Amino acid sequence: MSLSRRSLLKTGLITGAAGAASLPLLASARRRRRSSDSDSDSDSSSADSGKFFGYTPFTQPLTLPAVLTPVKLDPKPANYPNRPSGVPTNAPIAPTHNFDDVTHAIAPEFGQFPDMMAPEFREQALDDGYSSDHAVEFGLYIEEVLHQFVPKGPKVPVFSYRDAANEPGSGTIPGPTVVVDYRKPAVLRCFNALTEDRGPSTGQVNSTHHAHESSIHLHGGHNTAHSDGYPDFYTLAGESRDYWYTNCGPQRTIGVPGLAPVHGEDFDLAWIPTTAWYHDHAMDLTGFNVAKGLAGLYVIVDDRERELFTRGVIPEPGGPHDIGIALADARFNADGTIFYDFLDHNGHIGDVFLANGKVQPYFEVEQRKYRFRLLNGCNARILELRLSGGQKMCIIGTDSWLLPYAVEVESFEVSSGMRHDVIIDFSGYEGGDEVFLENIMIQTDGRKSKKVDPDNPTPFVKFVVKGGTYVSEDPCEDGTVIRGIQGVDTDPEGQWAQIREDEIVAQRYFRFDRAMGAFTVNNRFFNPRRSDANPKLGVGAEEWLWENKSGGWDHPIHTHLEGHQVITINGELPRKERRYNQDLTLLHNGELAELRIKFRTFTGPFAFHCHTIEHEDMRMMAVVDPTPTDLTPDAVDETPPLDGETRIDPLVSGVVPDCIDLEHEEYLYFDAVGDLERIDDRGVGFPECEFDITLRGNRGRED
Amino acid sequence: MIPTGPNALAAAGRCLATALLLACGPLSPNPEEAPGERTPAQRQEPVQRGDRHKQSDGFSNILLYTQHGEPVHFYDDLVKDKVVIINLIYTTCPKICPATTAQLAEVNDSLGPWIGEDVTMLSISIDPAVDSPERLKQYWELFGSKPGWLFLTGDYDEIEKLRRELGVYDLDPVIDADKTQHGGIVTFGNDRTNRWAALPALMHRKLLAKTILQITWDDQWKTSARRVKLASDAPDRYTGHGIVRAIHAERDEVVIEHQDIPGLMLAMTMPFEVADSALLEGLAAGQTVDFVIALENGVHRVVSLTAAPGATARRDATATPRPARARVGSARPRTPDSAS
Repeated sequence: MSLSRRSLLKTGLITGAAGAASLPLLASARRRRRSSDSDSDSDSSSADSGKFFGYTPFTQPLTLPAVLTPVKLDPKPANYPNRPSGVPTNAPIAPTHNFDDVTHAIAPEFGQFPDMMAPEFREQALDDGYSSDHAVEFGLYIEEVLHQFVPKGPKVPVFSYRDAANEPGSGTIPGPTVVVDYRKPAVLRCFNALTEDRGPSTGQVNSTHHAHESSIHLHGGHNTAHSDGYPDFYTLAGESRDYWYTNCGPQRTIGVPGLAPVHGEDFDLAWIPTTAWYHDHAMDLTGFNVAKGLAGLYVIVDDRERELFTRGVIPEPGGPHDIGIALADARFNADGTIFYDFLDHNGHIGDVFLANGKVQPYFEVEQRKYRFRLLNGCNARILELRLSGGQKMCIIGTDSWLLPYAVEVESFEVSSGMRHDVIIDFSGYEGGDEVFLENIMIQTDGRKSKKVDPDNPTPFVKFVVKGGTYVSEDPCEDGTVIRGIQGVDTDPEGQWAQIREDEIVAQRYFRFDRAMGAFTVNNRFFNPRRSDANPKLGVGAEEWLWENKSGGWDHPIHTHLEGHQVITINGELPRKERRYNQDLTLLHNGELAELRIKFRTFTGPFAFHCHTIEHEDMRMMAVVDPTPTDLTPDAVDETPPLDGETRIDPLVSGVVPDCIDLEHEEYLYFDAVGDLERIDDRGVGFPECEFDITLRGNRGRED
Repeated sequence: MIPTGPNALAAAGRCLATALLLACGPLSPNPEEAPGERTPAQRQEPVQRGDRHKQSDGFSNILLYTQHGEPVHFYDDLVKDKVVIINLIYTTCPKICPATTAQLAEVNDSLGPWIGEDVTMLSISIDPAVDSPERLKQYWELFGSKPGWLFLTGDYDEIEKLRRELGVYDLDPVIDADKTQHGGIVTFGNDRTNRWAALPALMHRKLLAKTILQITWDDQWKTSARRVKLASDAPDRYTGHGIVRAIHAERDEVVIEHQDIPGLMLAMTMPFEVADSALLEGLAAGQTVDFVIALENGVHRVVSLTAAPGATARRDATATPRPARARVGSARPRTPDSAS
């Protein structure tokens, strides 16, 4: 069976999204449960002072963000009015403070990758007035609104994403959930309404009285650099930008060095994305922006998932039993406003626990299987999640990808940014039973998690089992085939496959370290105009060694553009649910990870970085700029150096040395929008300078 | 699909205990005081200047003295409604502070039209017992007496508290006790807009200047300049004069009791790394030397070392006169950089 987009919309919902609402740090946690009669001194006095605006935990329902509504964008993507004469209609221009101008434009690759769209969508896309490269359009505003974390609490300012189809001021945290079909590309127009003069006239509140730049990263997607949310490819306040989302996996490579990459419709079905999320990624400011609420879930549904549903293995994708939950920890001022310390570079830890933007809600469940897409939306807190009572959970996906076989666990570890797709079966419960989703990881600062303490749980959500609705289904259990493995399972399509050792064409080593109060990758601080690795685009795979040498810190490392496969950590196999595809690998203090990764389809720049956001803001980020080698063989080292030293080809690189590299700029420009005029001239991201757009990306080169 | 009716609360300890965990309150800058571990009384601790809505609400209003001997209060006089660039220094610091202060001197040049008018740079001594206003004035002069740049000293304990409030500390007490660890961060913000950030001082210099502008700019900046010439990124050269006190050839190091080195450091006795071990050949303790230091990517090394003319150290008679041996740019940086 297949689920149409219409029925998805009707069922409403899906997944809730994510939201990282905020701040991270600390757990409040760690007070013993009351069963102990000790520490009565502190408990007696905290009974009054400790509550969050009188809220009794698990008395407000979990909210599920609405699904983002398809709209018709005007002007059409890549056809923008008001371009100065001589400027192409799809090119960026200097900001005009007019959303309709789409000043940041769209990826230069848009319009040149028709193969990303599945054939069954093409005719309809053209009939509907879309294009060869997209079949659905969305509008998303970034705005500051008031939000209530508990029913009787104050309404406090948050940064939110709002469906363009809804009224101004109706933004939510988490933002609306995007639900799309696999290989049905979308254009999402982002309007950054966080202008300095925002206020009631724009449906917003204005708690900061200055403009905020943003950059949306689709975490787990496979997209162009322009659309990926590169740290300084901003959507400036008052401006708009078209993000082109392929909703597709990477084009397959061939493992033989020296031969041209495969392109066209030959996609690597081992990397079909499912549970992605979108969040802010603005350079130097990500921690604040995410703590203020800028996050949402992004769900891609493919035929394999629909088939699993019809066979009763998983609940209906996008249906009423497919629930997204963004977990986050937040800190608040005494008046209930969000607290964020710009100068806490260890990592922001909160002491109030949120699920989908609400403090410790409950969720009524039927006596049946549910699918929960669980996102750790904390800035810095690492979670070890379990169900109270010890019931096992069945993990079917990690980060953006489904596993080959389900993995049953009693608890699992997720760092900031990780998603686990989990089946929880409530059919064994009686009506009225209560089950808690709870964290048993102790963490008191952003440096690292301290230990797992099963006796000290902090519940995020209470599931309340309704009576009388028992649904009998096949269980999801250890080993249940989800994607299967290529060459082992012959039945399903789109099986998982391990990147083979003989595909490796290069090896690189990256050391994650701390230096002088900030953080480094290979002894360097992040510079958005310097590439730290230039892999050959679409050729083979690379083996990367990641070592956390920072002396007592945990660092979850995230790769953009592509996920990766961890072979070993400290020479051992990783936890059994994290041996497959993932876009984040948590390096505990001192750990060395050996992983394999490919770089396909799109040229860079792309970031890879620590996902403890305050570490990322303190420069624990590096740049990878995949480079097509068949056209410019001199552009890339034949044997890439282990230290990731760069060789940039200015013709194809988004990190164009002579164009936007500050290194070569003689002047710092300055005007009414700060230094941004310099960026404005270049359209924020892709500059009007000497690079050849026809050389970008893995396309047009026949085998 | 979502139940909305009243929900019977589990009376179990779980919920009650959880309720107790939901304490809220302003964050202490002290990382030891994790909120979950604080007592309720601590949670209610009043903060200065009201609630923590602004970053500066957490800054102590301590009394400091400028290099001109003028008393100032940190918050009232230096931060409130202003744009500031803050770093921590001490004048006897042999390694990181000279590099970062030299870097900030360049940033000062880059921000020329706005320095002193719209932006103030604050370099606060974390060794106030040594760094008197007079000594800080020498330090300021050493770096060119640039405008809009205050060097500040005060009470040790109060400055230590401020240092933590500024987020310049390490959770590892051993590292935190090492003063040299605190000179690498430059913190900047606009108290009017409450926009703050911090960056490693030795990162790419122009990117640092650009980011400072982008984070701190608001429409109240007075200067109407539209562009400013950026300072050069060329490797810096500094010349020094002093007496060799020890030679550690095994680690390419020479200890020199040197006079003031303009633009880099005040007079002191300290070890210098040499760019080429050949520079140490024939060198002897007691020799008077002229030397050139190259500062690249935050690392300074001696690239030229010659016996000073007319030096009369005891062993000079037997020492072969040494030609200058500049080995410019040959050394690999060993500390972080982003300029490459």
